[in-house]
Amino acid sequence: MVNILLVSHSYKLATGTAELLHQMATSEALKVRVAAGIGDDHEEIGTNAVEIMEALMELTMDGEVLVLMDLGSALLSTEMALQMLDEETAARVRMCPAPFVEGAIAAGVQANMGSSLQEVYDEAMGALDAKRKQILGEEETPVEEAASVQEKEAITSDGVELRITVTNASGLHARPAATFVQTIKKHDAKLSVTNLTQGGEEVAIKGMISVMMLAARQGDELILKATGNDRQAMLEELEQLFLDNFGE
Amino acid sequence: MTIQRDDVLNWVREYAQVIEDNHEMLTELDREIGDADHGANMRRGFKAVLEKLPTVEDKDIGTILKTVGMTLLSKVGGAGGPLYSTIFMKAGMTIGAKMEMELSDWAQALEAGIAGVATLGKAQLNDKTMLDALYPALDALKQAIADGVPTGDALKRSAEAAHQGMLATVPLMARKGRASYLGERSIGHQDPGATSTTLLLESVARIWADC
Repeated sequence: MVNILLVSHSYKLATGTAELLHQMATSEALKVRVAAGIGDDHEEIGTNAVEIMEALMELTMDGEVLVLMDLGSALLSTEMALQMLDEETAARVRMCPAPFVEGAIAAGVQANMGSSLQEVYDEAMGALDAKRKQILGEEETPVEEAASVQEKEAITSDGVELRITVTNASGLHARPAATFVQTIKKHDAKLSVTNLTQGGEEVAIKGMISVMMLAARQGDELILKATGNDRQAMLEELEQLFLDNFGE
Repeated sequence: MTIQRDDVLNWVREYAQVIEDNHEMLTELDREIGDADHGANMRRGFKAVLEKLPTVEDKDIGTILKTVGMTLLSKVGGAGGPLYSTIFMKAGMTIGAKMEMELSDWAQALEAGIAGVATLGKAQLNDKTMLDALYPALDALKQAIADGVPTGDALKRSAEAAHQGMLATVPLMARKGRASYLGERSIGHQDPGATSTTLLLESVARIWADC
């Protein structure tokens, strides 16, 4: 299991980020700790290398650790903490340069699925892309037309496809995206998705960020393409999620 | 004359007082190009050091310096925490279990501390950091030792070189730390870290003047 350490100057920022993370990554096996603030009650702004070291010792007991830091001395204090750990322990820890909040949530969702440290790291590193795409948009123009879509709906030799409309009000934002990937992970199958309405390319779904990259909003039509042994069961479960508006 | 364990204790106490007297000035410098906490952070750190010092005042120089370093690590909070902690811990490790030391021991300890700061902060000369005071101070100290200058004068030259290095940070553009976010707007301001390290070396020169 990959555990997560949030290092911040502000105890409120770290605990608030942990709270956001737990909203989407609810597994009890996932440990998220904060090392933030300074002073007896953590109320002053600053980071404490000793506290970081202690947190790392605890989190490495039963797994590896991805560390997300806000800025400045959070990085220096974490490096200092790593220097004080024995090499074997330090080797189970990876510092991640992803943006603090986005990276933490992406990492948390990925870690929650039992992914490797590398996968969790990669997912966090892609976290900014989804936000960038949502705000800046893309140059691409819609390429799919209804006719060609119909052709794609058939069962192909290597997979099953499902065409579905996003109906929940806020689209595939972070929380539905997390539910979406957690459902995929339960099955022995792979999924790629094309957002027909936004005219994007087919996206292989590896984690929450790749779902968010679809920038799927209410009313968008998606093509879900599944391969693998469990593809039918997975698509049925995903379809149900859409029909239930992801529980919103 | 050699530098005794008690001289080291007196220097640490002196620097704690210097920080107490100058914390507002340091914070003010940091307000201009940073996050306005350097003085308050150093003050909190050295208050904790003063509380901790009685538990090690009968120990050797290495233990005392390492204890100062560990205390700063958990109490300072800003980048100054790991950086000052590194200076004291590396210096303490270099000097080791000695109850007195030569000036050349101090030069080696300072060199190890500065190397630690450069590695941790990934900074170089002219990045507008504490290294801009520390490197010239170390060079001046080594030169003075090589020239056979007496301890008090050698430390004075070292402190003066630090002071010049500190003043020379004013026209520099910050490349490391919070000030680097400001880019060109960091030009024209004296670096708070270079200032507090200059105060550190000036207090060494004052307290060990007669060693």
